[in-house]
Amino acid sequence: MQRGAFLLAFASLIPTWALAAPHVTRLPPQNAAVQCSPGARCVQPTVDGWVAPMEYADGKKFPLQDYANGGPNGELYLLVSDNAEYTSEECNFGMPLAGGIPSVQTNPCLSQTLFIGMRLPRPKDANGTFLDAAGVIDVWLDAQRDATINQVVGANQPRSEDRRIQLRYSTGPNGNTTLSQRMGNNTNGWTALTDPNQAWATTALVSTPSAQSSRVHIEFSVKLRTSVPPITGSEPLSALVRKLGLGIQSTVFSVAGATQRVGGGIFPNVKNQSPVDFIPSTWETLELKEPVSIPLSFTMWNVGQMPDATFWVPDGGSGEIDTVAAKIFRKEVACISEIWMSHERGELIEKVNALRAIELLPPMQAVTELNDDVLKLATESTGLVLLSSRQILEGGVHHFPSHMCTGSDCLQDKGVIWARIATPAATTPVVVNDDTGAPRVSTATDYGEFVDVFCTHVNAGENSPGPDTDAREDQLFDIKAYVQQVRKGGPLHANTFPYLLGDDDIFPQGTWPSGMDRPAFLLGDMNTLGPKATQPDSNFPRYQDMVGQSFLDISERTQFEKANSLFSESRDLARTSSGPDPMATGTWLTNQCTDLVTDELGSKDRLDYVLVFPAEDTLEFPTYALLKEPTADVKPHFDPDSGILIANPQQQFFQQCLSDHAMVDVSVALTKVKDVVKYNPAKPHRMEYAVKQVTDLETESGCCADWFTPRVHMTANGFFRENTFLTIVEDQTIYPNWQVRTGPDNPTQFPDLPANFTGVVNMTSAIWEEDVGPNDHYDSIPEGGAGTAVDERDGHFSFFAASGLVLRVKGEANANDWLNGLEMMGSFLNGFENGMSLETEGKDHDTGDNARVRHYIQLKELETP
Amino acid sequence: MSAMNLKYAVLALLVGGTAHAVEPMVPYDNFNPSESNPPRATKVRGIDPARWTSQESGSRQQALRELAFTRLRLLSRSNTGTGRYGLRFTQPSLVTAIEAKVRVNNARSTGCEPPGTGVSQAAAELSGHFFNAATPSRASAKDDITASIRIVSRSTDPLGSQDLRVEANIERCRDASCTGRSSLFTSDLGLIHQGEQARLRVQWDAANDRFVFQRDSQPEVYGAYTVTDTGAPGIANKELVVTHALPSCGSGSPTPLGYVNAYFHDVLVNQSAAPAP
Repeated sequence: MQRGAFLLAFASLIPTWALAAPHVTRLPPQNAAVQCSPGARCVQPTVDGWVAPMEYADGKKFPLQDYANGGPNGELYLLVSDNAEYTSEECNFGMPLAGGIPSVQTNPCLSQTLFIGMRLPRPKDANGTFLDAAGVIDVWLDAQRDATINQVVGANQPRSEDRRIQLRYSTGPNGNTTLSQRMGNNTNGWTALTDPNQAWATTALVSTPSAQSSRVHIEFSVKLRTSVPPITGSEPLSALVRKLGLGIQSTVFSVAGATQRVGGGIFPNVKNQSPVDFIPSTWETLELKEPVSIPLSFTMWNVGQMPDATFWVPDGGSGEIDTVAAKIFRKEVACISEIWMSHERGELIEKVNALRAIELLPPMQAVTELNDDVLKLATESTGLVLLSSRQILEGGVHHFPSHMCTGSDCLQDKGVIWARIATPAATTPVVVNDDTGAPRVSTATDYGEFVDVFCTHVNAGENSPGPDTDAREDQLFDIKAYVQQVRKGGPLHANTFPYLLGDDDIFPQGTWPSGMDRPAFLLGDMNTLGPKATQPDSNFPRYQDMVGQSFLDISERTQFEKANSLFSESRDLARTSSGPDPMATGTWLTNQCTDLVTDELGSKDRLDYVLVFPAEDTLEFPTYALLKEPTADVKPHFDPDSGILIANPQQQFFQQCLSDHAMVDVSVALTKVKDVVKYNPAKPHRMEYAVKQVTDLETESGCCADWFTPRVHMTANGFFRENTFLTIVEDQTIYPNWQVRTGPDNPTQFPDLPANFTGVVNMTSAIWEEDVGPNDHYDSIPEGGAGTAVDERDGHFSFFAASGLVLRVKGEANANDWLNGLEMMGSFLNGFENGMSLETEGKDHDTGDNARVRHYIQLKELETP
Repeated sequence: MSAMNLKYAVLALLVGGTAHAVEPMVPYDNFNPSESNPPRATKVRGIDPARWTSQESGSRQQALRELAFTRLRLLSRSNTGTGRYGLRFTQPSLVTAIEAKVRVNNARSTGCEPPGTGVSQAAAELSGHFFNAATPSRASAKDDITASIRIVSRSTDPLGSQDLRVEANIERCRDASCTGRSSLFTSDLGLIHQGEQARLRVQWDAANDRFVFQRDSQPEVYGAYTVTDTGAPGIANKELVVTHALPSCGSGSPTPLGYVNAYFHDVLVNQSAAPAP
């Protein structure tokens, strides 16, 4: 059954009550007993009216979107402290740990407290001058969340343990604030507190800081009361529950002279579903538990498969393509280096997927260099293959500038491969109501759920200073520049120092969503001796150089890491083994092994790494963080069948591992610390459609298709744009990013979608292959069989601006075909801030001209000028 | 000499060459279904059954015959007897010349103990039965003349050596299955390292009563014969194979081994054997 069909079937099994369940956010509390100590201080917000994001680094960030008025989005920060009391030296002590945190801080820090920080846009007049603001902030607190979730009778209404806190504010010379608190009346409303001890102790402050004149800063601290009389039944931090219902609404008043009402927002952030004053189930559920984990694992292995052109250099070990494939086919993301010949790289991918097919696993996707150019030397490649059992959303190959090498390394074109890997969260089913209101499960991949993975192999040779280390350091600098250019979203087509376009580089057209807001991973044979476990870095000066500021520049902690106490700050993930011997992370085995090699890893040199590029160092939240602590395992893969007698000079029994390098396995877990912006029809948008990936399904083997497209088309709001990409791109799988989008950059008028646009945007593309005979129009959709009309071969998509829905549709032969849905991709009202993608696959059994194509659709919010 | 061969002999004289006077070589199969050379009218999935059939004799512990991306891969691991494993041309009688790029990634041969009591051999070969030197009988290879160019591993190779040997051979089958063979010609074309690719060619130059062998761009080597060459072979067979020939060792000796893991691609044949599109 196809995934789409399966998910639709799955949707039919979802009970309707589940769809009405409250939104849930996991918010791990800051636990003083575990996270904070004088040697590892924590940071907590100080309610002083200045909302410093880094004060909330142990919490989470959300957008505040005004679905009624549009305008710039605000920010909401939440942090909860746990039950343990703080000592004065373990939190908010001494100099501020990160930028933006005032020197005067609450000390000791507060336990059992909910901190709410809001930064709301201020209105402007026609001259662009910021005006004073006024409004009301409602905060609803459901103290027995499980009762509400479990639909206990009467729980879905304000009860006596629940609270509503209201802050009325105005800013400016005559500004004032009024804070009030009420308790549930056990029916359908709120009543005044009758005893001051009934209050959840609350502090609130409002300011318009000069350091950020565009925002009103509003800050709350709310003591999460336990069940101490006169309060009963309050349980947010009780061991058995650890949940809190929380609703927040920012309502702004109109301001004289303002061009637009701005600053509204809701939590949970769901259009058409504001928190209802007397219905707790419409509020968000904060699960005060460990963060949601998104696991991923990485494998780095130099497999030493030498080219025929340098036949006098033996393979690194006894391994061949099939024995290598057998060791990696179940991996999640693998960087394989030293497969120098194109046909061996292609063979590896085929072998891996043949083994996966036997175990009914979906094929791995890959980024590598495959070509059928008989005049091209086998050594003119990076020798790298990056394989992923998860979707590869984008990919590219970069070669080091040709002068950055020494000796025999100059026979090769070493470099870096990039793959943007969809995390497991990218394909988590999302239930969407279709245009009839019926629940459906979306089939799209969330393009925001990714990590960038880089795979490299740098210059070999000496580790003592000299030409080898000079060349290697040049390459490290080049890696850093390439990684930065990729992570910021491109483009890669031109030299923009420090990034230098390499010879024969392969890269997507145009730009793509930035990945600077999350960690990226570099897997590689760095040919640089590095420390194992607790060995001091200072014993490895080349390693210090590699990770230091001059080259990879990953050794410094970011501002977020300085302020956060929950997440991993590791950079070198395979430095310490998670097995019984922490030192067992040596990877350089030489070409001779014995069956004792596993016990000898602690004495081997370490050359192969899994390194982390942290999220961009700013004073804001990243989108993802790395959970503590990644695990590492190094496997030498001794080959018991490799033994031969050699005369060298006396007769000797010679045994090998599969390679002269050990395999490095690292497991990590990511978690999301910033929520996404959702579709807000009240704002203008830019629409983009692109072909992100094309794979030839025509033959089981061989190389390579020559792809182009005469048509990437979009129609929007009475205009259309059709782009062509006729330059041949050769490979079995390509990542072309053939795109069309609205906006002023087009050669013909093709305006962005205006605010409150309610029309339909149509998109399609055609996939062609150049052939010795007539060129072939590939089939890329399951419908249509061997038909040759565009509706029978090309994917067609429609975005319905009124509902936010995106459907794969029947076609374009008739106008109504654009409205005739075949598949529910998803709704931008559910998120998809970085876009959504869908793979379609041709089923033309007559010609066999079938392709698997990844289509990408993005709706990017624009600010009103 | 057949009329056709006479024609080519005349042509050879006209152009003033020797081996170059025989038919030109043309692509037969590059083992790349995506960009087939020569082109195919319809693309195939896997090994093209219109051009190749199975060749398999003897027994082996492990065998692989597969399209490996853009090459043919043949692997054989055996510990007994003799055997041939690979692909045969579907129109062998038309094939008078075979050329291919061959890379033996690994080969190993282990003989009997004590050394010298039995020699093992494993090879990757381009070979064929080209004619019969006597009166051919149907389905019998007896007196068939075979020619092959091959990359060979022998148990007598130096211990631990990564070097194999390229050889040219002309042999006469002594029995119906051609298990027993008499050597008519052999030539050592030099050492080749495991993992080194070589372009090999074997070509019947009937006009000059010889076979032409060539490794890469080295000078051609001619294997002349004096037997009559007008009879069709009893077993019309041209092939790309990996082979083994292992001795029967006495008790106490380790089991012999013949192992070859080889890749073939860019196969050419004489022009008149060119495949149909």
